[in-house]
Amino acid sequence: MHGNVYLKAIFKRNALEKLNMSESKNYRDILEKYEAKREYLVSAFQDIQEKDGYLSENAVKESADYFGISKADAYSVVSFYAQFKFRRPGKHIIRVCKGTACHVRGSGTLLAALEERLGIKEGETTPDGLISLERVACLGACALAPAMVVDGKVHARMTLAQLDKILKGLQ
Amino acid sequence: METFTLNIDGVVVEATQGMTVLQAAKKAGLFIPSLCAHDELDPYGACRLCVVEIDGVRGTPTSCTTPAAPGMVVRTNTEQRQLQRRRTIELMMSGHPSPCLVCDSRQDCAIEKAQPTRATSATRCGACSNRPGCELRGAVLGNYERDIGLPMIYDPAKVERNDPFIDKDHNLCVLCGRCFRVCEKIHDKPAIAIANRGKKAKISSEFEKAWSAEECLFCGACVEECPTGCLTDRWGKWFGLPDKVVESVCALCPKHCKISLKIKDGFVIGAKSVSLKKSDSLCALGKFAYAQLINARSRLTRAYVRRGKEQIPASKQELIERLAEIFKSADSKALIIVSNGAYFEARAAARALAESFKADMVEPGLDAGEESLPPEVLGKLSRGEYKAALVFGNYISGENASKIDRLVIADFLKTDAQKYAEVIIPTAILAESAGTLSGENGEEKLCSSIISASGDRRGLSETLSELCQILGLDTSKYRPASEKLDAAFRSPAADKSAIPARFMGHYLADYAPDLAQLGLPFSPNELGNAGDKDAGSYEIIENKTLVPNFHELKVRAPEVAKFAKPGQFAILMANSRSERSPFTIIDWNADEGWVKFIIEEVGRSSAEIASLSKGDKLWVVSGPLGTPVNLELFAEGSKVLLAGGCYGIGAIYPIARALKERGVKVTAAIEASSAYMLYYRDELSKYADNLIIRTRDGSLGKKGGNLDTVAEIASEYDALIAVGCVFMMKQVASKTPLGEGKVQLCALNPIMVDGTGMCGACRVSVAGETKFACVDGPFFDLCKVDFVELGKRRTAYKLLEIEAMPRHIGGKCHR
Repeated sequence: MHGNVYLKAIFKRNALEKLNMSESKNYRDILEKYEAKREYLVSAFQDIQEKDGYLSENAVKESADYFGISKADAYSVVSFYAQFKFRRPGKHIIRVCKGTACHVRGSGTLLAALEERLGIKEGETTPDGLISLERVACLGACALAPAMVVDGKVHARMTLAQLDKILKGLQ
Repeated sequence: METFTLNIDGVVVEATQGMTVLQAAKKAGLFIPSLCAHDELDPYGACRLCVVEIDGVRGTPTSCTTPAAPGMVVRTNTEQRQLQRRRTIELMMSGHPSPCLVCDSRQDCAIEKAQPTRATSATRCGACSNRPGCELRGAVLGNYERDIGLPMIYDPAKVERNDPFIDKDHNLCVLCGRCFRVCEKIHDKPAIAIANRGKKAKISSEFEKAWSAEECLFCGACVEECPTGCLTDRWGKWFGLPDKVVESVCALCPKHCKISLKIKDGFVIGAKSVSLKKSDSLCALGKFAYAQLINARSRLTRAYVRRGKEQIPASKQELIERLAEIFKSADSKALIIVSNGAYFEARAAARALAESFKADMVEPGLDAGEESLPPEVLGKLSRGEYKAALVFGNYISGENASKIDRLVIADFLKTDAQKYAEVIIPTAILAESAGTLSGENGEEKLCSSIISASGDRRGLSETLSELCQILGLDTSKYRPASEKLDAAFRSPAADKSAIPARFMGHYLADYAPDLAQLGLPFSPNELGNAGDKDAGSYEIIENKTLVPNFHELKVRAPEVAKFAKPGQFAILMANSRSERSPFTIIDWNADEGWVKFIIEEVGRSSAEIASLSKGDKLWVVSGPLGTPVNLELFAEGSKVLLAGGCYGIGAIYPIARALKERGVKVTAAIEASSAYMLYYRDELSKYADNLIIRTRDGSLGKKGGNLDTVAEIASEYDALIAVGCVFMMKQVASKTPLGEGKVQLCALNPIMVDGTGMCGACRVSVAGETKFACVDGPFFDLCKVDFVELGKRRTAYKLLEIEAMPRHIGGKCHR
């Protein structure tokens, strides 16, 4: 068993070295639109997220290298903003409005029902990668409360019956 | 340089161009509280403690970021600024475990408990390794009040032990940013930074991964600069402040960096870089492993010489005489192995011996092993052609050692080969002995001896020089020339994959196991921790963490369960090498054959027990022991007050139950440092008619402790039982609660060994008489116990207890 520990340690060390060496250049096109100055970091990350839907470890690494800063530094900047995501989003995105009007008209129940039916909490994605659940502060559709948006389409005056119908339609 | 004056709090202060207001004040000896400011780092303005008022400047600027200017009029301590500071501190402290800072008993407690409790989680200053010399404590003590009464936040998930050498407890972090600022200063690109924001903000590497996986080099500068107990050296943190810090040379790899060693009571308790310059930055070996290696448990201390078949302890004289005789008898069939990383003096003497006795001489690298010896030497070794050999370090296997007629081993650690040795020379290493090494640029570097070597340990250079003198050999002409560092050398301080796996042939990870997390191998025959989980026979059914540091342990122990009575205890051992420690039996079920204990983590033994999980087995559950509480003393319908603190909250539970069953009216008074440390409220409410809660910081119930509850209401009661730490019981006793003639008891928990009255370790003085807590107790008359003596006896082994700590923390036993 000790040989095992020994081998594991060596393996780990090799893996570490490999990790440091592997350097894919998937984001060069995006990054090269910007001067390699720290102030363009957020813009570049916005473009990357536009392309991938999220910021992968690789994206952070490559950007950090491009801008000449450490990975920890780059992550520190982007993790400050709620708009950046670090996990691949689901195929479908459900956004529940939690604005005042929607709140008064029961968006809490709506969100709870979604969490229960999908088996995830807000901000998470179902394990099969099908649906991401998010909450937004206000959709600006207060007259339609409670409202939610599925893949960019607004659903007004939601009821639980409607919700089940919508969920059934998502594949 | 241009100098000018400004006015701070009515004092005319001189400053130079480029100084901040804070620096000008400091230079003039004026105090402005500050935390994030650091003389060697750029101004940051994060903690906002150093806010001041400046005439003509809007708002309240931070003095650490405001440049001093001629004629400035600054006020640092107006009523408004004091209030602002207090508010800032309260906000900061609502997320930092700080009940000790507002506790009314903190002065008495600091005297009573001079050493912080060696708990696993720092839930308060009294359980924080950083308490001695804590900068945060210094800055906020006296300015902290819970005016607004913000809820206290403590998150056990913020305690992280996923990295080698560094314990991280983000509960303690105040986001002053010193760690990543110092990281950036030294390494240009910081390996850590603040991730996320708001209450999720924390110091982390990218994607909050383990630091070992990322850019961090484990230079440990962040640990040194952290003003709180957030970042700590897992191995050395409980030793407290060093007596002195002395500059030395690290000899663990050929780079020979300058290193500052922290010395306490003649031991190296830690190391740090000599400055915050990149060129002085240390690697994980220097910063963390150095102290672990020099303090390794398996260091050799005695010199041995074989007589007949036995290795017998020998004097210096005998040792040298035998060495001389062995070399003379070798008949040109001798081998000498002394590493090229040894001191020049030792190498010179070894070369002189080799030349004089026509011995084969090998100078392997520090990080080499037997496999690096030249093939012809290996061949001769395996054919048993050497009559004599002198080996410095772990460069030959037991098998080859057995084939050498007369083997001399000099080493600082025990090895397999030593059992075949005719002479064993225990050597002083690193800061224990003086000598010369090559500097980075080929200059000679003199290393002085900083601590004295204990036992028979001496530098090998001294022993060999003496030997050469007796043999009439001149060693000076064999002195090696200082060499420039090889151009191909990769510095472990700049690349953690370049950290050498071995030192003098010994695998470093065996002695500083955290190195394995950096990819360093253990020696192929290292037994690791396999021996730690000896199979006992008492299975753990459940280990539930109630609050940080407190665990409810349910154990299968039918014999104990069958006979247990309220107030009794049992002695537990996690494994066969554990200390025996007593724990109160909280609950039991004879039919199902289980007992429950509350395990409070206060040191190595309790931490060992607490680290076990469901299905693991305890080596010993010996009990029930002690005299149960005499229920006859409490009449039906009488009123009894039970006062519990720390583990005592659990310990009063079985008493409450037994009294309730007798028809006694029970009031349970419990205290905790803060709301997040209270447990067993529901359990106690089942049997107590009344539950009174006090917290030391006032975060739940009234502010204060059991002493206040007792002072307030004890006169209404017929009897009192207090269980908890010595300090709490002593405080309650000082209120002489019920007056003469009433039943007032405490349960004592001194150091115990057998628990059956044989060893006498648990001796306590009660009303001037000597009693044994294990058989006469644990219950004694509260007002007649000599608590001062008890307190002293309980701390009798504190140094050994501190030494034992790091060898367990992290679930690994250090050799």
